Amino acid sequence: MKPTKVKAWPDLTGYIPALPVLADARRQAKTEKPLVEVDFGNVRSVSAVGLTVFIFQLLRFLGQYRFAIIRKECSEKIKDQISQLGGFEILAALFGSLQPELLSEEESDLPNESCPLGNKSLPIYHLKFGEGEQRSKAVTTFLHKISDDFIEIFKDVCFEANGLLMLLNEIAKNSADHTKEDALFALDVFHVDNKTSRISFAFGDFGVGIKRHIEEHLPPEEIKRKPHFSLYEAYRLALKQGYTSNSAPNRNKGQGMTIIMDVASSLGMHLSVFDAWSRGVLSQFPNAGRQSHDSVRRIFHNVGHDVGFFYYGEIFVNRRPN
Amino acid sequence: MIIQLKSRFGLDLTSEAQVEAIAKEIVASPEPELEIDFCGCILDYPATSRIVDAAIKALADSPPPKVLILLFNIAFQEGMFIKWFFFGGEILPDSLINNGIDEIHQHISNKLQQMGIKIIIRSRAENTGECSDLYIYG
Repeated sequence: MKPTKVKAWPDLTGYIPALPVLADARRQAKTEKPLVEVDFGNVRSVSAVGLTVFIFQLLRFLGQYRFAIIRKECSEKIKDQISQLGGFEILAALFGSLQPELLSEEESDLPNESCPLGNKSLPIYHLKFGEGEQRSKAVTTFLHKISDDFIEIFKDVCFEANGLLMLLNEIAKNSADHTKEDALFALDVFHVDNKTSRISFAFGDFGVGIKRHIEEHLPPEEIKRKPHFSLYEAYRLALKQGYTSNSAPNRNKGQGMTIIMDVASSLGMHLSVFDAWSRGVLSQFPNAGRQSHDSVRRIFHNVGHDVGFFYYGEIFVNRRPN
Repeated sequence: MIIQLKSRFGLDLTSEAQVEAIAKEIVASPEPELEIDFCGCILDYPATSRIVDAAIKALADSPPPKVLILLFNIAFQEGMFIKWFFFGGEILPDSLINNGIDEIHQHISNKLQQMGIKIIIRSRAENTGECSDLYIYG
């Protein structure tokens, strides 16, 4: 059987890189395990956030099978960068073994874009949540690890790192509470010019996303509305202060999304949530906790394909004078 | 008296065990003013409220004017500080947490007035070191 090819290219640096597919694995017989190859051969630049967002999209594309052959015939520079980000390790853990025997002698004809000096990425962090109490411990371990990493990566910029840690703590707690799946976190610091840097991050889990989670946990009085439940209705509930779909309301009091939005707003951060086919620009949302159906509609749009579930944040900060 | 949390206890205030340990360190003092410096720390609900509860208790036997200053390095909106400093604590019952900010502010102020305590939430800018009072209760 000819494999479906997923090409990663040309720049895995942004929050929504293209996911070109040369055949649709979903059209293959459903009983058959689709054969999918992921090809990094034409990638010319990569960052932690770009690669992580690509992985989220790939997970959704593969669906329940979660198996792909990862071809490694990319340029040496890209191969090194993906390795340094821990990318191959994560790809192997998520999708099956790497296929070194598929290494090709062919060279990519795209020129390598040189990385501007000083840009940095943290290695991609894989939150392996585990079960029960281990899940909250995984959040604490994650928080401590990135607290340490932030000291080094933010040493050249003026930024209140504890604000971002508080935001990530809330997002990670939400994932731990609402899905049984693992999560990924990635962070880049790009130096825009001599005075300004752009910090961007992606944090997402491999769960069904907020919209489907809320649909699947509707209270009994709402259950008959499930077939007609729209994205906007789901997010109107998710953003409502005090609403929780968690089965352990003593621990979870429905404050998470409000805190996430308010922290982003206070830090001057642009924050989006990508959920399946949609993107909601949370930082443009007025009056967190007092949302109407209309106000939720105004911040969401269709992104054209299923991108998985993740938050993407971006903030411009001053560089420290040398 | 000033208690600097980050340098003494580290930045993580998310765990119950950690905040319990900090709360035990906050004891009554003859000084009328107590400042807790949360700058650089990771605040979390309901854990951080335990520290504020301990500080209020420590001030109870202090001479007037009994002022508690909560210093932080980011000027968050009032609703956020209410969650982190009071949510789950002794002066803000769970039943009020989804009420309006003004109503909660009034409730906290009334409680503190009964105890003769004033709380000031103050922010300090990292680059200039300049402080400004954001929210005052009691």
